[in-house]
Amino acid sequence: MEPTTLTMGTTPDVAAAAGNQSLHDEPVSATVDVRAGRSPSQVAWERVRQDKVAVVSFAIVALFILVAIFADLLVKLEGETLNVYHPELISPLNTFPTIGITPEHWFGVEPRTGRDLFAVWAFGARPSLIIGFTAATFSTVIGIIMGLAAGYLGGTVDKVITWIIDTLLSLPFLLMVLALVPVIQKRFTAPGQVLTAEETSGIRFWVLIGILVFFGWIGLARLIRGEVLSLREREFVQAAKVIGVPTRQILFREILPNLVGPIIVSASIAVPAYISAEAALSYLGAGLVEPTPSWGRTVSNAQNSYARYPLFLWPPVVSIALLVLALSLLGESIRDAFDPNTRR
Amino acid sequence: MTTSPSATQPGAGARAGEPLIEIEHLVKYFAVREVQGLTMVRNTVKAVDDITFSIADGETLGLVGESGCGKSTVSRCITRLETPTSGAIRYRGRDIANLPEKQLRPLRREIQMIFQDPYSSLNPRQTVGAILSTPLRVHGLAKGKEKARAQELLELVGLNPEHINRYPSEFSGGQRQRIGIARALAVEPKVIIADEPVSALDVSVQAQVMNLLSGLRAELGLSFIFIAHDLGVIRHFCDRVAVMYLGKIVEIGDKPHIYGAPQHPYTQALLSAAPDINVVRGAPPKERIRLVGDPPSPIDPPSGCRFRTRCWKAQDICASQEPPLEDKPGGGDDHRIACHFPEIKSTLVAAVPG
Repeated sequence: MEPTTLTMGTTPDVAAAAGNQSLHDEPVSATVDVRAGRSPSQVAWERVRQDKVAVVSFAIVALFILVAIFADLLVKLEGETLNVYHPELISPLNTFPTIGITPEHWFGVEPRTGRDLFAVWAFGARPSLIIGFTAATFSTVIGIIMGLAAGYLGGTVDKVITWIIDTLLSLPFLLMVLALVPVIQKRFTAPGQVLTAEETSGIRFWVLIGILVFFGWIGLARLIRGEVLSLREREFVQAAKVIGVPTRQILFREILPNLVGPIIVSASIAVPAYISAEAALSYLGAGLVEPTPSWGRTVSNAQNSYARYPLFLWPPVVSIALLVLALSLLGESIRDAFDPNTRR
Repeated sequence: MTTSPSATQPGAGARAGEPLIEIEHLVKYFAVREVQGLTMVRNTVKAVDDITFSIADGETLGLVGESGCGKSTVSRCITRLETPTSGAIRYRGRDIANLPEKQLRPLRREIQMIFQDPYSSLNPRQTVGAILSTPLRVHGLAKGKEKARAQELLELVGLNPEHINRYPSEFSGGQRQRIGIARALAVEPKVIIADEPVSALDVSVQAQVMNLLSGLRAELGLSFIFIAHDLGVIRHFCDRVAVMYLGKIVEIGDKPHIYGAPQHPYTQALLSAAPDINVVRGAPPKERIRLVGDPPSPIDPPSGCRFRTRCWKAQDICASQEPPLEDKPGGGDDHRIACHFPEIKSTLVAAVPG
């Protein structure tokens, strides 16, 4: 490998640049160049692995994902099942549980019903995570494609997409969701059919994802459109055109890699935002319904009793806060790792 | 290797063959919208207005003129980054002015471009290896051996082939420009259009990049259209020189004629504006022509001769009749001037830097 730049020899630039130009932008690497022979993404992942914050954040996110996947197993390990009620553990005087944390009920039981709260928490992770990640994936992909198309193709395509974005932005999100959820739910219900609670939750689950995606892509699309407008005038894009690189390759190989930063930041904000949105909508009654557990609804139910029985409230609240924080930090560190300009 | 200290015979004896590129009556207008008072006004910027020239195989044409005179637009039309408003661009006899992108693609191999700003012309997210193998991949060259070819190209432009996994941000301006040159050479082009390739570099590095270009030209038999506003660089590098003013060519001819016996007042003014190192050394300053004011707007160019508003020789005929670009008495072969009152001035000499 190349120990110092002085041995390059064939580069008359180096001597001159050392004399005349600022030294810092020279590839002066007195240390051995460890990057040789590895792809840029390998280098980036190596950097993520060396970042302690990223590793801890990843561990936290992974932990919650594992809880969601193995909810059945964990609850079985506790020796409980989700929909078993324990009225014997409820005080008949004030409907609060008579127990706290016990070996049988790790997070205690639900006030009034006596449901095991660990089971509620473990199964509640599922809708939160699935809605968060699915909606973030779809809205990011749609946002990227719309933003690239509007920014690079310009003209009519740009006008149409910008018009759609402006229209969606002008709609009040929360009111629209509260109004749309029952309307869409009705569309999927046969006339005269009475939905069971599970069916309602099942429909609302997909309706929520759909609505979050429908309103979620516009922010990223606008961001990407603006970036593309400036990138397409850069000389490296012109150079690619002169070489004859097809438009699709210019978009995805030349321009898109330069947008990794905003995309990762946006996606890593989107996942926690959708998890909170699901929680908020379930809290407001437009989300999932009993008996399907969800962190948001648990928080909603727990608010009346948290002074007397805080065990009801804390598990979902701490989980949502931790997950949101970990995802944001992880996104930040992945973005840094992929940026060659922050590399030393 | 390719850095011979001076290329005294650039593209020697290349004038004989049939023209490689012919530009005929090239016109490029841009539509602009401006707010004037309360109304929106549609205007056209006449960036390039009817220019004609040609270059032969192996020849180097210099294109000079002040900022905004349309030289870059000419280069962008030839590389078809812009589609000309009218006129013909013939490459080996084939008109490419309106060719759709699909049919243009094989021809893109032949005409390549070197850009002005080495900090913007390389994708910051791609390694040098990826940058150099993109043209190979697009044109199906060196299949399976892209990396070896990319390293060969790095060596050709005087960079260390070991640095193939580095990013552009790890190189200096001069080294980046070398990478840009290597990218242009990757597809083995016949013509390279260099749009002010050294004006963003500092002077010592300019000389090295210029020497690299002249070495490559001799080695690979390239033709160049070389755009610059530095007359010294053009003199060092070109066989022929075309001087542009406000979208028109005002004088075109062989280098010795343009530098030794310029006839158009604008050419004379440009030459006289170049700083003379001998004055610093104590020689008495020569006669100096000073142009006053800015060039007129290309949205509404002056009638007749476009230079008349700043010309010290302007008379009534200049406002009413546009002077054609034609041979004038006293000019050399193929030396054409667009002026009603041409006059040879030979004492205005631009110094060669470096």
